[in-house]
Amino acid sequence: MTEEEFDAFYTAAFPRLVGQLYAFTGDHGEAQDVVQEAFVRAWDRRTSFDAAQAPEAWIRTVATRLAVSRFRRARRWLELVRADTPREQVPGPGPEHVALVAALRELPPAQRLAVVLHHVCDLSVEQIAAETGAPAGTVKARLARGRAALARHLSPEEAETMTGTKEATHAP
Amino acid sequence: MPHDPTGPAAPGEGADRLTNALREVAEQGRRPAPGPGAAVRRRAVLRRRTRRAGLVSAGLVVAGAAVLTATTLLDGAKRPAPPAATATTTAPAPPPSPDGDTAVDDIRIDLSTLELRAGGRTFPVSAPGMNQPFRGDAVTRVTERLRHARFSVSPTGEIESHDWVLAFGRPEREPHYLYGAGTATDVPGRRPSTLSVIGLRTADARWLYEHTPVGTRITITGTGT
Repeated sequence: MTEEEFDAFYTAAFPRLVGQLYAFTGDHGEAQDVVQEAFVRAWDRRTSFDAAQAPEAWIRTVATRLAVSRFRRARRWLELVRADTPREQVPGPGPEHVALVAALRELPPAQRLAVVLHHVCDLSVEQIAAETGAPAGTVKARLARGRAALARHLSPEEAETMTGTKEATHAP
Repeated sequence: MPHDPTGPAAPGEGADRLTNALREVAEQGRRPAPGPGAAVRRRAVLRRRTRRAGLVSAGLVVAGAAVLTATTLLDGAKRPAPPAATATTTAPAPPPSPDGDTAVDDIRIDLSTLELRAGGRTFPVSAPGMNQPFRGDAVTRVTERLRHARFSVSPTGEIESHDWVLAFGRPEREPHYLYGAGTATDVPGRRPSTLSVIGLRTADARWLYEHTPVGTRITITGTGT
């Protein structure tokens, strides 16, 4: 990839990738930081980046790994500082999606990533498996569990609306 | 009909709604690039240069440590050269062993038999025949190595030059000397001397000089007559 091609790719893909990483992290600043860092690493390691069949997937993979790493470090730090850490209020883009973003953040990173890659990035199970390095069966399981977990966190109406699942405990 | 959550894509409206909701979240989370791609490339280039400079520095440190270690090891294996040919030159360091023999660490002089033993070798010596400077057993140490020295050993006061000289004795007293007697034919033997000197044949004196470091113990036994 030439310098001009890289610059054009960066300008076009950055906003889209930040949106995807925002869905993953629930934090605007975090999403921009990890995507920017991923682009820097892409140019720093051009050999590996150029060899990738899907440059955008390469960036997204690096960015999500950075986000997971930072999340783990932050969580460990918070656990050290305070025993009972109040959950952060995620500043969602709009009140109608605050609950969804908050519910997403409750998911384990692997499930959250599978859900975002499938529903936001429109990747198939096989593509998600290739991007994450997990077997296809594992990806399917993560998607299923992710959706089920979202259903538990959301209100019954929201859960039914968004995930298509209905709480079994609800009396008819 | 209950929904099958194990499918990769939840069928029907639910999946579409979740997808739409998540895509709206992602759409609202988009942000423009903070700057041009050139800035990203510059940052990557700077990072690479910093990393390479760090590797070079680390390599120099490692190389320097290796050189220092090798130098220290080599210095420890070296032996200092013999002192220059002056009457007052002192060589405190152990002398080199040109023939590969180990340094002498003990000298025993028997004035009764006129023999000197050192380094597994026995040399004939000449001892002073007057004044009997050595009385009884004496244990002392080599205090100085002189490649060449001038002193008077003759009762007439005549100054003589001698090579391969080892001075020994106690600091508070006049030193004694082992020296090469030159062409003197009285080794072994006794010769008149006003000093406490013990003469060896030149070759023997040279060997002893080259193999005896300062501090070597000297034990003198026997009588001088």
